[in-house]
Amino acid sequence: MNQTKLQFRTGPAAPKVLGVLAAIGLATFAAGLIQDAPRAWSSWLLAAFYFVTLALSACFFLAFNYLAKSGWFVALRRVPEAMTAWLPVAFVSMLVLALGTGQLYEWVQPHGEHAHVIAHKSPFLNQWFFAARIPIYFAAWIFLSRKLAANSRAQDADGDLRHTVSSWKTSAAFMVLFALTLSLASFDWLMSLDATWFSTIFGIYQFAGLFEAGIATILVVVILLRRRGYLAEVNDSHLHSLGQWLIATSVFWAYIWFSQFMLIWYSNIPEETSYYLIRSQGEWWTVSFIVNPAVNFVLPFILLLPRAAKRSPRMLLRVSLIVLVGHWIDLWAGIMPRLMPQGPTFGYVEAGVTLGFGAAFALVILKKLERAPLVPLKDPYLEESLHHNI
Amino acid sequence: MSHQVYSKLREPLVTGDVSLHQITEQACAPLERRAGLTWWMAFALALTALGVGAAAVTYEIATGIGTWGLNKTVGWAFDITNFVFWVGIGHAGTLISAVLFLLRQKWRTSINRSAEAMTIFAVICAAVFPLIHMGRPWLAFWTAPYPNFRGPLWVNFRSPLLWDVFAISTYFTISLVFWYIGLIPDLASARDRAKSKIRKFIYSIMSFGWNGSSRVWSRYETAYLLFAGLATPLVVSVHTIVSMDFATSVIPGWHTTIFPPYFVVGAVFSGFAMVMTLLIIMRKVVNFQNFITVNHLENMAKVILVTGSIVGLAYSTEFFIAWYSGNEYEGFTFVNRATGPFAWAYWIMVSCNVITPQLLWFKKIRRSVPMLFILSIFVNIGMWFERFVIVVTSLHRDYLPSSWAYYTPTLIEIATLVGSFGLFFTLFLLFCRALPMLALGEIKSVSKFGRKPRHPELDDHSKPAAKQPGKSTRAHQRETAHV
Amino acid sequence: MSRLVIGVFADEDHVVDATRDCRLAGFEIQDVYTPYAVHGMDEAMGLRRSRLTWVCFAAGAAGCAFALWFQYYTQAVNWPINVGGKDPWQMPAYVPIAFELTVLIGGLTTMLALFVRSRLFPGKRAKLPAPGVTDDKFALVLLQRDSSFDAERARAILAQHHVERVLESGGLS
Repeated sequence: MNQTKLQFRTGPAAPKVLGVLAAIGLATFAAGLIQDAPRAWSSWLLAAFYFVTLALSACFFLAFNYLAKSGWFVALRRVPEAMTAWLPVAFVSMLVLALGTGQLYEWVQPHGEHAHVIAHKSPFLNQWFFAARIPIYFAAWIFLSRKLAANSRAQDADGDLRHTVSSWKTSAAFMVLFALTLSLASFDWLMSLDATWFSTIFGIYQFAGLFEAGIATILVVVILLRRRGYLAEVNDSHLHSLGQWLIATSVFWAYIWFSQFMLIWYSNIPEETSYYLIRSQGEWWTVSFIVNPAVNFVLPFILLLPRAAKRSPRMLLRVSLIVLVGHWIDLWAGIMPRLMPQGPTFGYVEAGVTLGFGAAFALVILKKLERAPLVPLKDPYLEESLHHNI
Repeated sequence: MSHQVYSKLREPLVTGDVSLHQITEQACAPLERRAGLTWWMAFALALTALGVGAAAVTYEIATGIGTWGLNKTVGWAFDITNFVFWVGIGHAGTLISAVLFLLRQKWRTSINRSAEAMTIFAVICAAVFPLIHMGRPWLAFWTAPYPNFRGPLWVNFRSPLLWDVFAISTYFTISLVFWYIGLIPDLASARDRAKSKIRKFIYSIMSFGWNGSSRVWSRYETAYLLFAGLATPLVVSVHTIVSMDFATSVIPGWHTTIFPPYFVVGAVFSGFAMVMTLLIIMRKVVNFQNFITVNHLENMAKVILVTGSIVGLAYSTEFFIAWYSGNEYEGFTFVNRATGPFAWAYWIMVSCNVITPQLLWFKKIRRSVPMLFILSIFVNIGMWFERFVIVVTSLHRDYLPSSWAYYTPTLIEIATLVGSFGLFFTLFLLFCRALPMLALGEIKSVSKFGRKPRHPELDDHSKPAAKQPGKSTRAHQRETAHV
Repeated sequence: MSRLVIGVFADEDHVVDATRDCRLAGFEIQDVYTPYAVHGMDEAMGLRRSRLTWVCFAAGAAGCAFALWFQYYTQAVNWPINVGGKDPWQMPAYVPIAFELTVLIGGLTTMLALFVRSRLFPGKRAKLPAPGVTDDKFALVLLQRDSSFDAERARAILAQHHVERVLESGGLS
């Protein structure tokens, strides 16, 4: 193992550039607030939720692999661990969102012909309870993800098996809380945007997108690190495994996406079809039914089908970027159509806010990666991972 | 890199330090000895149950569907419940053989053969129910889209019931192929050690001239991977389509978007419980404790815990959204499930599917064979009732109170259910006598997993497990066994 | 007149190493017979990756196309029926069966391709290089085509990898 490349260092310019970009993002948001507040808040929701899903997905990936006692992922484990460091920042971003509920959610002041239906939901959908749920979700996520990362770091020092055991238990706890909180959080933040609409599969749908985009992010970070000469321990078989996960999660996303659409389309019940009706207007139809399945399912599936593609860093990087754009489009088509029912218009606010969040996210990951050796040196499964060969 | 490296934390998948030859020996033993008294008794019991079912079905076909307890409000009940139940049981086999294969979970090797056999038999049992529900089963071929002189009048490809026909038949075919391909090398092992001429002749025909050539193995492995890749989405699609029999309707309690994944998880849950029940008996009766170890059972218990909890989450999501939707019919259906005339069935379902499996959080219980046996039976019962609750409680109180009704199964229906268990166990018992119950080749390939090399003096390869200075692998295992 | 030199091993790691060394030493490997699929054997024998994947993909795609065409023809062209007020041709309702036929035709074709390519068929007589290769023995079979075959060297390589016994034969029966 190449000891000199175990310690990651960012260049001097990167933090500055990323810091400036993040500031630009904030400025765009401020400008947007003055110009068109609902749109600015929607952009904030889009970007904030997008990066919550990436960080949570990393934690889910860790927990899943701990529970399955998998060995292969150890060599690249520091990457998802670093991604979870975003969660505290994400917490702040969601708290900020609670200030904008009045601009975002119809249920804050129900009006129109469905007001009584929306009022029925007020025990759950009200500003106070909405804001109170945010710290509950994040408390669980932050506490457990930090525990996983801390165990991993502590093992670097003493190699004690107890830390692995503790991570197994933490992972089990995370899975339970994650299932509950992610369903509720996706109902809160996204589903309640269309206040009369409901779909029981919605939490799983968000989970599918989260899982797929998380794998894509891990791939991007791993490949970029390898390009700089880091993470030489990660071989083609690791990339292959991640590529398999990407293809599997893209199929899973398609399955859930199709299940929700098909059942609502088939039964044709007005209170459910309203969601898809608005997404069938004008160019939204193209976005929702052509672009979205193409970038989240068809392209990753076809491009990654050959074995050689799953072992090629170039191809994997491309496909991962497609998927990351795809996840954004998926959320965009979920959040924006209420504001512009005639058809999508792409504004500087969405782009600026997402860019700012992305820069901040990258900065947090880079800083976190610097704080620990890139490979968990004393993990009991490390040897297996270094010899991962499929 | 040819030599596999295992972490010192890995525990052996095959215990008892058996050699490759002993694996063949032990796994083929049940085929080569005469059937014992236990087997004959079990077989007689299964045949009797099958006979009871056959009599009931004959009577039903001769007389008509009126022999069932259906009424004009509850038009789907026992029969569809049994159909969904049996399809669900089948899912664990494919999950173990295909999904766990793709996830490289090596512990699947000891249980996949019998679980796949179970899949095939369960699908056969399931297929019986829609067939008899037709009332005139001799016209079953009408579900096939063949050119005819009626126009031609085609089948309706937009009906979920027709999707079922395609899904179940595809599932049956692909499972059978997957299973048989897995069997070929093991049939060759059985052939090459057969003493009697007849036995050798039969296994020769069935083993397709297999001789263990690595050139063939290479293609075989690719094909196996492809089958796993095809079977994984297939198994998901099958229960998805079964769930769509209900979810494409507009009936509160049937139409809800979570049904596809929720049914799939429920199927895996019930299927694993059935595999657990059967394997606990099998490992005792035919002495497979070396191959189906407590670790295997514990892993299965974990899958049951996970899937059971997801099923619980789906129940709560449905309940929550029924309220959240503000739709009074949706709300009524769910309150009626929990407090109405069928509340007893609902609470059996909740207790067996959500509450008791939570005991599996305790390691002691996960490693206690009697407890696992009891819990797995509970899950089997609970999952049968889940389907009953979904099918019947959503129907029995229609929009007009004048058409509210109750449903009680008749003896004929109960006898048919008993008969389906008879069919299942008859087939399974015959399988135990005729074919290798363990995937020999696959078990041999993992027999070194987590084990100290048997001939350290011959072993000149660096094995991290063996290189731990001062501590043997076994000592490590003992240390970690309690964690 | 070609002859076969058969090395019989008792351990998978030994046979893999022996195979690799024999191949690198220039011996022609007729085949290696093993009781299970040995990890790393493809690479040791220098086998090409199987092309069954493409057979499966092509057959699956054909199955999918056929299913879509057939449903289109029967439901929208040959005898259109109004079901639930929807157009006779609406993709979502035709996806499930298109998927099932993709899997069915892809799977059955793969099975046939495997059997045909590997010449496996019911009743075929098995030709074993040594007893026990379907039980616990691993047989590496080297092909001796002409006098350039260095039998001493072959035996030395086999012995170096803990061969149990070496057989010679005129062909597999």
